[in-house]
Amino acid sequence: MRTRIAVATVTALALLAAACSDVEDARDGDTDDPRRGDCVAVDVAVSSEKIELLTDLARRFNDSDEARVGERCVYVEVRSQASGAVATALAEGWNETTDGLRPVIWSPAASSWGTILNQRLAEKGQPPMAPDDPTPFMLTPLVIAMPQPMAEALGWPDEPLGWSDILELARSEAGWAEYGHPEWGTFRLGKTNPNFSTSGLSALIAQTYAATGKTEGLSSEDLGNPAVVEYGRDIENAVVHYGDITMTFLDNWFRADRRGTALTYVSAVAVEEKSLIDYNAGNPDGVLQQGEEPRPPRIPLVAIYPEEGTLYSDNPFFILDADWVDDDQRAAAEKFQEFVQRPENQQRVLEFGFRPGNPAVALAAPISTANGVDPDQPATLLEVPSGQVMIDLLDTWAEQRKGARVLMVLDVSGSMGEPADRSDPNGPTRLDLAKEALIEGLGDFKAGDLVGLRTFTTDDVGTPIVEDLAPIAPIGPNREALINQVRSLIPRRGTPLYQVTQDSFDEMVENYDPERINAVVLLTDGENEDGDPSDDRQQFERLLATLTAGTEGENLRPVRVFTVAYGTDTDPAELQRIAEASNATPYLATDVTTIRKVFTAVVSNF
Amino acid sequence: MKRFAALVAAVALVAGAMALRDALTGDDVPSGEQLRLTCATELADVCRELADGWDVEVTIDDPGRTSDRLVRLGAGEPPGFDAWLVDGPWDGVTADNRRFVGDDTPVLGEASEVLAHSPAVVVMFDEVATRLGADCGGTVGWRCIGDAAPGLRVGLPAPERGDGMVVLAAATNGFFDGTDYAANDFDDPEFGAWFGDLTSLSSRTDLGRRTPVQALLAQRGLFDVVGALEAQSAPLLEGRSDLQSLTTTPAAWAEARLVPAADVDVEQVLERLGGASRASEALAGAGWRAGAPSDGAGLPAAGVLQRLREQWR
Repeated sequence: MRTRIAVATVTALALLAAACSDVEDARDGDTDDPRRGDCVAVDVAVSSEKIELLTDLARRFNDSDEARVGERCVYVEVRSQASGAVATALAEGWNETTDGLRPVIWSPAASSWGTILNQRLAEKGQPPMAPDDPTPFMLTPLVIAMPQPMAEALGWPDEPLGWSDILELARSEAGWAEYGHPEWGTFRLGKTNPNFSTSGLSALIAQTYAATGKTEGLSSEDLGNPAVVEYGRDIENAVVHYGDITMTFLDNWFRADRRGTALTYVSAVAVEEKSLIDYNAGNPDGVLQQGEEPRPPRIPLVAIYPEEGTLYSDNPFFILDADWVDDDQRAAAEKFQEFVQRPENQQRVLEFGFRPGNPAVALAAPISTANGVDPDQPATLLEVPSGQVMIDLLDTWAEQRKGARVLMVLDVSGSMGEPADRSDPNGPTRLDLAKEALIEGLGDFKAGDLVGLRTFTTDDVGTPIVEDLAPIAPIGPNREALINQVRSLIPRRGTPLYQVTQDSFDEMVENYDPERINAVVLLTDGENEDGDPSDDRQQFERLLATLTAGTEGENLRPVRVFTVAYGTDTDPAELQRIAEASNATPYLATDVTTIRKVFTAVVSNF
Repeated sequence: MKRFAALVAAVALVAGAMALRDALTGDDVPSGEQLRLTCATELADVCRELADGWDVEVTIDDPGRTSDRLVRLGAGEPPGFDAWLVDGPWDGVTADNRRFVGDDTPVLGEASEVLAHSPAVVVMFDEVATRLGADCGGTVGWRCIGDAAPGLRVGLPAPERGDGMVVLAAATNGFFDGTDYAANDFDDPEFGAWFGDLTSLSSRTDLGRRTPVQALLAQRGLFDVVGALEAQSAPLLEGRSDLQSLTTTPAAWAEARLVPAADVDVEQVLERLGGASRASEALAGAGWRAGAPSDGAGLPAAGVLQRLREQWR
């Protein structure tokens, strides 16, 4: 049926086109993405938690009659980009090669990022890019998520709780034993890196306000107050590790919950209320992949709204004051902004666990006590500090954050000598790129962090060769020597992956430092290759068992193994299992040219 | 402007008349044109028999490959066939995959009723069955088979094939003791290890055109136990007393159905093939059981099946 109609219609339309050549379809432009055509393109950079919602709204908008500016169609395209990363990219002039298409609209998780961006631009003598007073698209407050039994042990829901309780637990050597639960061990806190994560930034602001007793007017002078410094340092000392996104904690927590060990991974994590709702619904990272179904946790989390006050992630829409945004794009962006504020679209916000930005839309499920949250909270809101204060706060945090003790374990097998770009055989090798990324990453450690460097390969007959180029020591006085060692690396032979990981992990556990984040960072471009494949399976299972055992028990000495799958010859699933067995995070640098960005994300855990 | 409007109206009238006529006659595939039938690899003989003496062009391909091609089609692009004879829910997998890449437009129409069905079975030599029975506490099931791998050499068809998809689903049913599992359950390290052990030999062994059950018989020593559809294994086991075939529980069934291209009436296609009964007879002649299984196919959701394919890769 379709064929005959199609033939007739095409014939007629061909005649029509010939007769009416002045009618143009603006979408028939010749572009890489056929959906963009000659439309007014509005690229939107959004923080990850709203990618699904905004992608859906963008699709609805693009299909609607609203998507026009004058005679031209409008095409809105949404991409997920971390708030901190976009702030940095905009402040540094935005490199389309590495940062992607320049956004017309930027919607970070919180308007504080806009303040930080403008502050950074002002320091360079450049005009602000993020408008003042943006309209919130949707809201979610920062909460302290805690397993319900632990919260109840502290008096929840009858007792108001907050950062002072977290501080008391952080300072307690007896930990949960003081509350009748020695089996839960010491108090362990999860917080993300405030340079990358909105939750991390909001938590840092909130805990600092709590330290001062204020709810507004946080000043740079406050940050230098010894009591405030001590407060911050003691909170940070309870951190198990940092990271660039809260999903890492929630995914690890969920896996631990499935194993029955949720109460010994962490005791509390600073997250957005929306993430807690997702976790309790059985979808910890907020995204259901194909074939997945929600699996509610055995132990639900409850939201503690700090009595000292908290902040909202207000998800603003910044239509950027940038020289690449023309009048048509601005008009189109305003139309999209108006579209997403409509009550029917704000209802969609609720479906994703956020509070509507439009005050005309009432709170409803899932913002309910049944899901571990309280629609009547928060009771106290904190003022977002000025840009300068936030910059100073981040600088202070860089010194106060929990120190790290990290062993970098780097594969220097023969394959690392292959060109990073196979079409450019004379270009940099995989090892060259890894070295540069490692050197850059070393710059993110503070002087007191303990960092060591180990390389691994094999000899001609498969015997592992493991070299400690730099023992674990304070990086401050050793940074240059370490960098020189990295620069001197050359590719060798095989890849005794399992044995080196096992040995490195065992050594880190043996010399565990409870005052620091203890970790191994393992970068490999291949699979286990030690000349004897017959025992590979046993080696791997033994490694996983060791790593898993290290995450359990009340007196555990957690050493996390962060893996980086470098290139396309690795077994990412295997490396993922190694990382997750130790409650760490696997990273992918399948495209080896992304290693710098990936390594930055790795180091954000410290 | 008026002429333009009149021309548009004329086109619309012509197109509408043709649509109305076709709707009334139901003749979705022009009678003068050859019927294009794509068939899953394991149904190749059935399709050739159906095509014999009829104006049918047959294309044989692994259903996974056909499905992946269909997923990549743009809106309105034709699938390249009038109908697709499959032995699993490949239409559901295709639709689910298209949805996940952001395209809801259908490329396939409503499938026929189940023409025939065949259970996934485990085939092994007697001595292996005896040994495995003892190791498995008397009842051989996929969970136990996976636990015994890789020491036990397991041969499975790849899930790019219909038999492979159903066998793998049966095996996974065995691990989870039912069909109530989702893709996120595959994150369980215990499942990951078990699945890896179960599939490691098969995923790296190239059998060429042979199925694992053919390889079990022709290449003794390659596999200890294989998965297959009963329809594939029964003819090979006929007359042999040294082999066993058993249906594990919970069972999984391959259902043979004819899936038309979008906007094509499957009943008309069946008529062009001599009717549904002729198709069912051809399948029965190839060892398939008549009609649909009484308790459903015993397969998880389409999205989960897709993730099983990816788990294998």
